[in-house]
Amino acid sequence: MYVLRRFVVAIPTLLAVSILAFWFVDMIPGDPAAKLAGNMATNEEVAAIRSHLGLDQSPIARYGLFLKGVVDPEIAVSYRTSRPVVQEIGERLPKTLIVAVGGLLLGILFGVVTGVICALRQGGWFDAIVTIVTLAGISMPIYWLGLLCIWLFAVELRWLPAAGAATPWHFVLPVIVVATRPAALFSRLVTANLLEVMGKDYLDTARSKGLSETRVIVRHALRNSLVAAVSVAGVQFGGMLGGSVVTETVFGIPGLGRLLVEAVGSSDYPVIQYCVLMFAAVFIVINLATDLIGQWLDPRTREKSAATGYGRI
Amino acid sequence: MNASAQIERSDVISTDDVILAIEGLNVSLPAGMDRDHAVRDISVELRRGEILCVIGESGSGKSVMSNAVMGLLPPQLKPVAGRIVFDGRDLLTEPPEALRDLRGRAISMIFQDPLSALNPLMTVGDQIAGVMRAHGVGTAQTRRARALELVREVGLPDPELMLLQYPFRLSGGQRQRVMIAMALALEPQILIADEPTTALDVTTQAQILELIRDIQRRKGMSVMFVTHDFGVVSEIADRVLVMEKGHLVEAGTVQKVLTRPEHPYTQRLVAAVPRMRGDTREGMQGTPVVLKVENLRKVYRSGGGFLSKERRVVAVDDVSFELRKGRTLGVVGESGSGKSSLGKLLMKLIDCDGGRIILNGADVAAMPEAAFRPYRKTIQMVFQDPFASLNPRHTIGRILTAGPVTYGETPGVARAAARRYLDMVGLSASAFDRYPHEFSGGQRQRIGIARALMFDPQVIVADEAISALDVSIQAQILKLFADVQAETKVGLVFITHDLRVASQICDEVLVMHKGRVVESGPPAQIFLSPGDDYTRRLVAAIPGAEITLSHDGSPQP
Repeated sequence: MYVLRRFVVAIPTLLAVSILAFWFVDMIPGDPAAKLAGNMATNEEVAAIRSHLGLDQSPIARYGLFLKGVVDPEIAVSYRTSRPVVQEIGERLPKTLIVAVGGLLLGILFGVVTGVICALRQGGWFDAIVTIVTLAGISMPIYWLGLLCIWLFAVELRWLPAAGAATPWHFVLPVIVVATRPAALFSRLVTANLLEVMGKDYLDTARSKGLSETRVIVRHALRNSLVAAVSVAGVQFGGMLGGSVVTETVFGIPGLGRLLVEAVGSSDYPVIQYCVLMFAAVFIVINLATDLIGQWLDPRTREKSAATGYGRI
Repeated sequence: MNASAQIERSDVISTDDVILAIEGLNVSLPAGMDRDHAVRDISVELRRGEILCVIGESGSGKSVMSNAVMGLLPPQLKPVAGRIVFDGRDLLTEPPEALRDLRGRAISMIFQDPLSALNPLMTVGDQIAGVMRAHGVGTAQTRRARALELVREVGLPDPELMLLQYPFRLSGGQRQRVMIAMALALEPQILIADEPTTALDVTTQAQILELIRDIQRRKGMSVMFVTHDFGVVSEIADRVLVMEKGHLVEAGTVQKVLTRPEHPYTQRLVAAVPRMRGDTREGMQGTPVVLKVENLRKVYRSGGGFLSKERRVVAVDDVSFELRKGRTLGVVGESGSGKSSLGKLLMKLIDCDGGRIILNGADVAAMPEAAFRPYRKTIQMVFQDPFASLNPRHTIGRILTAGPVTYGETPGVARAAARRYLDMVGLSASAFDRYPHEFSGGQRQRIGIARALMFDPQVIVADEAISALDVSIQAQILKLFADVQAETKVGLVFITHDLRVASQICDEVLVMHKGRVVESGPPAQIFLSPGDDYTRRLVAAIPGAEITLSHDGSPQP
């Protein structure tokens, strides 16, 4: 019921995104028909292509078609390849997801483990090293770190392939590079949250019950400190999809990001528009997922969302 | 217990009655504190089946002592000398694993704040069963059955359902019952209770004290009960220890310590205990009305958004009263009674949903903020928490003068007034350039009162202004309120949950329950011959009725 309500609430958001995506792309200077026809084409040829693409229709009619294309793959066709956009996206989405999900999971794993150790050993050498490494991880742009990694592991050491997506080995470097930011963020977040939770009275209660220190940390402290981290994970995942444009260019992965870059280069409007719309939909689903996970972790927010109809956004 | 342990124990302790012996305990404080020991040379014997109360003000080391027994001292506090002997073993030298085994099984503890002492993300059932699981007792089924039994034993409603509840759905008293159930799970020999009723309402406190005493008698447990409240001591204790600044200053039976205290500190503490007073205060009569409230109403609404139902809570329901110049109106009630909402309404910190607030002859209830601004000077507030209500980055001078200066006073005049009021509240003028953290809780509350006085108000609303303070400080601040009132003739709305305090300072008392005024009148009438059932229950629940009678309401010299 709650999930259904959230999806209903999402419809106006998606409509707003569709309007923005459609009109902003439409306002880009340049004529897709002229681009497709090439330099040598006559005016008649360009006009024919324009009418074939439907670009001669009124903007309102084209927006109507755009919306219809969401459910009808025959209408949502790439200008450049004449294939349905859903096919184009479908072929490339898995590669993008492998990098994003892999990077996020690796980042969370590294972040939580180092975060817990740092919180328990405040001021130690491990804490100092992790602080430096995570600071570097947060500050370093992905394209720069990516190039450094390619130079070291692919060019100098020749351990891993430099670019492409042919084998699983091709994904190792991008996943590691993409993981640095969430790893750094989570490490700091988990340390800070855990330190805050460590001062709570219920940990003393747990100790007074005779629980071992490990149990106190894992069952009582860590779970409580992860609640806030979940929503950050959602935001990070969304950011990774957006960041795929850069990552996939650096590592030469034919994923969604690259598709988007190519589409912009060739004025392939439908691909741009539907990609943006899909990103928006994915963001909404991620938000819902983080809220549901947060509620599963923290019963107090269940009560609240039942009362207000919204989660903790 | 086996024979060798018996012999070993008898070597150490003279009587077989002693279950826990603290011998010459010293716990050091980190360098730079106001003293170098949290507790110093404390020797205490807890006997079988007795309730031993440890009483002292904040910073007396009473909690440090009880935490040392549990091995739960924070790392910066180290026991440097002495022994804590339980069952023939010195708890200070036992390995951590042995201590862990004792905790929850042989020695259990309940804490002050039931709101924060329970894990908010775990069900009640899991938390109770957690004690048994930690000690490897029983299977999942038997642990659940035992948890159910415990929940019944501590008198929680709907035991089956209760096991599946999360703490945030329970009231403070229910949470404390859950804590007690948890502590009793493995039938410990010793229960340590650290201020277990301090955060509770007076009627709930009476119930929890009753429960602890009842369980202690049935199981023959020994209880070490840490508290700052002599009323509670007189209700529950067999013997009393009095601590001051880490030292043990007096020990004895409850009768002796309460009626014939020997140490000067104990005498002062006992004298400072607020007592019910039946006499009418010699306040001013026939002065003009400064604040008149008619049919005031406040409804809290939540939800009511897209596709969801609205919830309504009536916090203040049809409240009317008059406050005359130089007189004090007490507002008493338990948490959730609407007394704090009433205070916020008077200050216009929240908007009301009906009724009139007549201040200086004008109805300010419905005024927009801009129109109310000139009136804000005439009504000022003293807040509950003296630590949170002063900006830590501002000097006292700035805190005091900021208000008048925004209202157009010249800084010079404001500074002079600040020095005058600092003097009136008993602080030296040198306080002007210092920061809040340099002051104690009682001194900060004096600053809070000086801040309210800066506007030369006609009405001061004091919301639980002394409940965060130690009893001896409470008595001083109460006296300050009386002195300030005598000098400035300010009308005082005194919101408190403590009926004993209200009986001392008020000319008239409103008793609030669920947003409504159930009874009002002079304290003598309200407290000595209450007309309403709820008032009767409140008065009956006040701890320490015996000492009230024994002293005939007048503080000891």
